Amino acid sequence: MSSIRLGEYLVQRGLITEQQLAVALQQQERTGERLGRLLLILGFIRRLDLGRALADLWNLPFITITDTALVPAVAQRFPLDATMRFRAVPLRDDGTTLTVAVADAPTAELRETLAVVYPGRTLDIRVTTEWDIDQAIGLANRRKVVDASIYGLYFRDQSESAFTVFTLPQYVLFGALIILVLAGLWSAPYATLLAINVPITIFFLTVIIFRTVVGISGAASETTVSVTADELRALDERDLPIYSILVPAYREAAVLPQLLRSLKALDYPADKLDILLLLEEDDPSTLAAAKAAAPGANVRILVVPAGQPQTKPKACNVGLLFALGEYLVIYDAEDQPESDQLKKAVLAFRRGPAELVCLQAALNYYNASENFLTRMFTLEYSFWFDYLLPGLDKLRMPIPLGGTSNHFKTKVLRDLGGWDPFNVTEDADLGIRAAMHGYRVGIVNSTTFEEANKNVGNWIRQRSRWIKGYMQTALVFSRDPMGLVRRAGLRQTLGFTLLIAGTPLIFLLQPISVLLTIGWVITRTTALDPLFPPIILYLSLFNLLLGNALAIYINMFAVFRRGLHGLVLFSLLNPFYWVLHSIAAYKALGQLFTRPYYWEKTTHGLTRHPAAATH
Amino acid sequence: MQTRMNPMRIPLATLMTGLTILAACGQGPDTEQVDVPAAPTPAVVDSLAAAAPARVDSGGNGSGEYRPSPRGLASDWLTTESTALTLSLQDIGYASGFTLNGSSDQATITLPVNSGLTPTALELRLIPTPGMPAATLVLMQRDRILAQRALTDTTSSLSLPLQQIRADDGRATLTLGLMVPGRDVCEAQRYYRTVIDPSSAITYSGAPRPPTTVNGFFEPWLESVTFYVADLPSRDAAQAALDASAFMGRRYRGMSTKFLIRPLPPAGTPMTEPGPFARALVWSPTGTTELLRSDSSAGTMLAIAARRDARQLFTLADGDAVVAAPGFSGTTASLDHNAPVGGAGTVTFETLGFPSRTVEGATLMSAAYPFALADLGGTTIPSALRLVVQHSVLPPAGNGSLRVHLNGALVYSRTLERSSLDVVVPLPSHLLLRDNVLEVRFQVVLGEGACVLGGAVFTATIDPSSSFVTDRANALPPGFGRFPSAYIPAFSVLLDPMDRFRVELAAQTIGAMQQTTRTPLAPAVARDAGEAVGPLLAIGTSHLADVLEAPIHSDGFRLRDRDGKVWDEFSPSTTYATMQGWSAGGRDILLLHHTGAEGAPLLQLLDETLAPYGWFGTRGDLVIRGVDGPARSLTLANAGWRLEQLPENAASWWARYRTVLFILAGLLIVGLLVWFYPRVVRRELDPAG
Repeated sequence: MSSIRLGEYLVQRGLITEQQLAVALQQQERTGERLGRLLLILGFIRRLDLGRALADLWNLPFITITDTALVPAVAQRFPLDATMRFRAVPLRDDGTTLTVAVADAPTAELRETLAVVYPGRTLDIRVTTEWDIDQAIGLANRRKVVDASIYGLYFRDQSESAFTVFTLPQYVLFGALIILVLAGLWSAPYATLLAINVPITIFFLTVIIFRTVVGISGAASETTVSVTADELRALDERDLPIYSILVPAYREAAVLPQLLRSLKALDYPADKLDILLLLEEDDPSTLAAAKAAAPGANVRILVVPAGQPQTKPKACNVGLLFALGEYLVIYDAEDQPESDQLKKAVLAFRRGPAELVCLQAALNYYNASENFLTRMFTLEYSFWFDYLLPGLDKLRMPIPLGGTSNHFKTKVLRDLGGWDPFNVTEDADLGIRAAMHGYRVGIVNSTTFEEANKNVGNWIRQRSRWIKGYMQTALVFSRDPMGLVRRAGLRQTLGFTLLIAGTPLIFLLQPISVLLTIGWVITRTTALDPLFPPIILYLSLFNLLLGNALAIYINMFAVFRRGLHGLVLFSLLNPFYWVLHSIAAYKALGQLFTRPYYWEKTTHGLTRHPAAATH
Repeated sequence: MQTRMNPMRIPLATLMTGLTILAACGQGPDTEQVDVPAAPTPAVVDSLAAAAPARVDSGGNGSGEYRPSPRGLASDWLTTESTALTLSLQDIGYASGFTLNGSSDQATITLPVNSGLTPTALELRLIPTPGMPAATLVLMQRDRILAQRALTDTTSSLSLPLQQIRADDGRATLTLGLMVPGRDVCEAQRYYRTVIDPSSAITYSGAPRPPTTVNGFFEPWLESVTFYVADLPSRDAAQAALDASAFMGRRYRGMSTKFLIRPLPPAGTPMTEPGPFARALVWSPTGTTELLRSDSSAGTMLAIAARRDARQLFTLADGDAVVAAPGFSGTTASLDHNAPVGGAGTVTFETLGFPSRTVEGATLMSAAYPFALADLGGTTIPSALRLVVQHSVLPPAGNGSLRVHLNGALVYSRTLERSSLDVVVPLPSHLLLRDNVLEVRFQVVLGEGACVLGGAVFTATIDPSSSFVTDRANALPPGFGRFPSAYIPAFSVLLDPMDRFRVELAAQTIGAMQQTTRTPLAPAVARDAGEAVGPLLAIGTSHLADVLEAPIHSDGFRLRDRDGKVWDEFSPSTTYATMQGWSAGGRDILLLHHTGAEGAPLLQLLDETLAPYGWFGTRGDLVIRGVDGPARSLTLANAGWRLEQLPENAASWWARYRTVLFILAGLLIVGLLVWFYPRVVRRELDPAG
C-alpha cells in the first residue's frame, strides 16, 4: 500500500486542485469525516476517479461491476450481513481464485471471513465505488433483501408480526362473540343490547378519563428531552456520528425537489449524512425525477425490489439493511423538518437513558389554514404531539410513533427486527414493540412540518390506513394478554389497550351512539328506555356532553399553546371532523378482513399553500 | 302442516274486506247438527292405557321428569297445633253466606273436618234487620241442640261452640235455626232478614294428622294442591295434570282451595314438602304411585307414576278409595263409575244432588235449584220440568199458588189445591243459560187470624224424584255458554306446544269449568290436531288459530261494529291474546291463543277473565287482551261486527321473519368466518415474496 496521502495523490494526478483540497481538509478538520467522502460530497471529484485513485494507493486493481462481472450465485454465498458490514461483494469464483469487490480498504477480518465462506481460494480483491457495491448487493442479493425486508420480523418472532391478522384463538373468540350476540339478540334482544350497552358506556367513560388524564399530564409536562440553542452551539461537529435518513417515496416525483431542498437545509454536516432514497421498482417516474435532481454524493438511491406487500415499512426495512449511520431517521417525501432536528436528536440520545431507543419529533402542518380539513388536521396533531404523546411519556405508557420524523438508534432498531411490513401503521407498532421490549420512546422538542391533507377522499384513505394499522397492532399485542401484562406491566398494557385498541373502537361506536341520540331526540321514542337504566343513562349523558366538551376544550388548549389562535374556535367543529374518522374506521374494518396489508396511498403535493415551496 | 296464510300475497283490497263473524262462528240455536267424531272417553283412554301397563310414557318427550326426594317439614305440623286453623264460610264454599227469612227459618252448613282437627267455635258475623224483635239463634246437629244465643237487631257477632259436634267422613253438617217471636208471622216473613256474612269463621283446634295412605291424601279442606311437572311434560303427565284439575274442581267445589301447576325443580334438588294444609303431586314415571317420604317428612307429596293410576285417582267417584295400586286401599276398580248422565230422558233432582226440600211459612216460600246445563249431560237441554210436591192443606179461608221461575222469569203458575202436585212445566229454551237457577215459589194466604205465633203454617216438600225432562238437541247457548256442556261426555285437549305453561292454562280453564257443574269433565290430551277429535279445548299460538280457522286468527286486525266504529285494533306486530268459543262443522271449540313469542298476555287474560267469579263470569264468545290489558269480553256472533285484516308492516314483517333472518344472518356470519379464515388466520407465505 502506498504511503502517499490521498489528497496529495489526487492533486498530483490533477483530479482536484490545491484549493479544493484545502477546502476539503478544512471541512475534515471540522467534521472528522474521511477525505474521499468529503471530496465526493463537495462535488470536487467523480466516484470513478476516486475509486481508481484509491485502487492505486492500495495497490489493488480497479473494477466496475456489471452484470457480466457478477456471478450472483457466488455473491449469494456470502452472508448478507457480512456483505453489508464489510461493504464487500464476491464477484466470481473459479474454484481456486475468488474475485471480491470492495469499497473500503480490505481488512484482515474480511480476509478471514472470506476464507471461512470460500475455503481454499486465493483472494483477488479489487476496488470499486460505493455506488457499485450497492448496485452489486441489489443485483446479487435481491431475494435475500426481499426476504429480509418482508419476513425479517416474521421469522424472528411470529408473535410480533401482523402477517397473521388473527390467531386461531382470537378468531374463534371473535366468531363466538358474534354468534353469541346474534343468539342473544334473537332470544332476548333488550337484555343483550343492555349487556352490550353497559360495557360500551363504561368503555367510553374510561377512554374519556384516560385521554383527559393523559392530556392534562401532557399539558403540565415539558417534552422529555429538551435541547437548547446553547447546547446546539456548543456541539463539536467532529463528534457527530453518521446519520442515516430514510426517505421512502412512492409516486412522489412532484415533491422530490422540495424534499431534497429540505434535506439540504438540515443543519448537519453533509458528509455525515447517509441519505437513502427508497424508491419502488414499479415507480420509474420518481426514480427518473431522483436521478434528474442529481443529488449529492451523500444521497443513495435504493430501488426496493418488487414484492408484496408493497408497503412503506418494507422499503424502510431495505433502507435499514443499507443504512450506515449510528442513528437513523425517517422522513416522508413531503416533510420539512426543522433544520436542527438531527443535532437535537443526537444530543437527546446522548443525554437520554440507555433504554431510550427512539425519539419522536413533533409533527405539524405548514398548510394548516388552507381549508377546513387542514385546520382540523392541525388541531388534531397539536393535541396529539403536544399533549397526548408527552402525557403518555410522562405517565410511562407506550408511545405510538408518528409515521415520520422517528429517530432511532440503528443497532437497536435492527435488534428489534425493524418495521413490520405487514402492519400499515408500522410506526405505531414499532413504538409499542419497543415499549414491550423494555425500551423507551421519547419526544424531542423539534417539529417536522408536513402537508396536511386537504382533500376529503385522500384524508379518508390515509386515516383508514392508520386506523387499520391500529387494529392490526391491537390484534398483534393482544394475542397473549397475560404475557403482555407480565412483560410490559399493567400500566403499559392499560395505556396500550385504551389508546391502540380503544381508538378504532371509539370511532366505530361513536356514530351508533350519535345516531341513537339524534333518533331519540327527534322521535322521543321510549323503545330505548330499557337499554338505559338510570345509572347508564347518566353515564351516557356524561360521556356525550362532558366527554365531548372535555375533548374539545383540551384541543383548544393544544392549538393555543402552539400560538395557532385562529384555530381555537375550530375546535368546536370537532364533532363534524369525528364523523370522517368514523367513516374511515368502518373502511378500515372492512379492509382488515379483505385487504389487511393494502397500503392506502396518501397523495402528497396537493397543497397550493406557498409554504410548500418556501419551507 | 303450516296453513298460515301469507299476508304478503293478500291484495290490499282484500285486506279491508269485512268478515262477518257469524259466518266464522257459525253458532246459533238453529245450527244444524253435524256428526263429528266424539272425543275419547276416559274409559277408552284407560282401556288403551291398561292394554300397555308397562309403558311409562305414551305421549310427549317428557324431558326432565324424575322423582325428587322430599325435604320434610315435620316441624311445621307441631307449629300448626299451637296455631289453630280458621276458615271463613267463604273458604269452605259459602261465598254468599246465608239469609234466614222471617220468624222461623233454618240454614244447613257442612263443615270440612280434617283428620286430627276439631271444630271449636263458629264465629258468626251477622246483619240483622233493624227493628227486628229479640230472637233466638239455635245451633243444631241432627236433633241435638248444641247452643242457643239471643239475637237482637244490634247484634253483629256471635260465637257458638262446636266442640260437641260429630264429624262423619271428614264432614260435619250443622243447622242454624232462627226463631223470632213476633206479633204477626206473616209480616215477619215478609220483612225480617237475618244475614250471616260469608266472613263468619270456623275455628279448629288439634293437630292435623299427616296422611298415611293415598286414601287420606286429599283432606276435606286444603289450602292448595300443587302439581309439579317438567317444563316439557310427557303426554301422560299433561293428562294427569288436567285430570287432577277437574278432580280438584269437583272435590273442592266452591272452596278457596287453589290448584297450581309448577315446574319440577332441577334434578338433584330436594323438594320442600308442603305444609299441613297443602299437598304436592309429582308426576314421576319411575317407581310406583306412592307417598314420598323421608325421615322428616309428613307425607304430603304424592308421586304419580302411571297414567292409569292418575285416571283412577282423579276421575273415579271414589278414586282414592278404590284405585288398585300399591299404597291404595282397594285392589280392584271399575272404570265406569263416572259415566256421565246424558242422552234423552230425565234427570232427577236427586241425581243433581238436591235431596228432598221442605219449605215452611205463612206467606212466601221458595226453594232454589241452581243447575248447569252440563249437569244434565252434555249437549242436552231440559225441555220440561216434572215437579212433584206434597204440601199441607190450606185452611178453608186460605188460598195459595205455585210459581216456577227460570232465571228470574216466570214460566209456570197454578193454584194450590188439595195436598199434592205432580205437574209438568214446559221450560222455554230461550231462557236457558249455561248456569241456571230454577226457583219454586209458594205464595199462600192463610186467612184471618192465622198469622199469629203458633197459628197455621203452610208446609211443602219438593220431592227429589222431581226431574228435568231432557231432550238431545244442539241448542246450547252460544259462545262460552256452550262450555262445559259441549265437553260432555269427553273432549280433546290440544296443546301446541305441549309445555308446562300450556298445561297450566288448560288446568286453570278445566278447573274453572268443573266448578260450574257436578258432571265430571273428562279431558283427553291429544298428540296433534289430527288426533284431537270431538269438542276441543285448544291452547297455542297464532299457528294453532290458523289451523283451527278461528274467527280471529290473523296477526293483525281491526274490529268494527255495525256502525263502522273501530273498537279494537291490533297491528300485525302487536302481541295479543284471545279466548274464543265457536262452533264449526258441528264441533265446539274453545281456543286460547296468543300472538308473538310471549305467552304472558294469555295467562293474564285467563286470570282476569276468571276473576272473581270463575267460569261463571265468562260472557260472550270472545275475550281479547293486549300486552297492557285489560281483558275485554265481546259477543261477536249475530252482533254485526266486522273484522278487517291489517296489512303487513315493517314491524310485523320483522316479527314474522326475525327468526329466519337471524338464522340467515348466523349462516352468513359462519360462512364469512369460514371464507375469511384462510385470509386472516392461516395465511400462506408468498413464495414469490
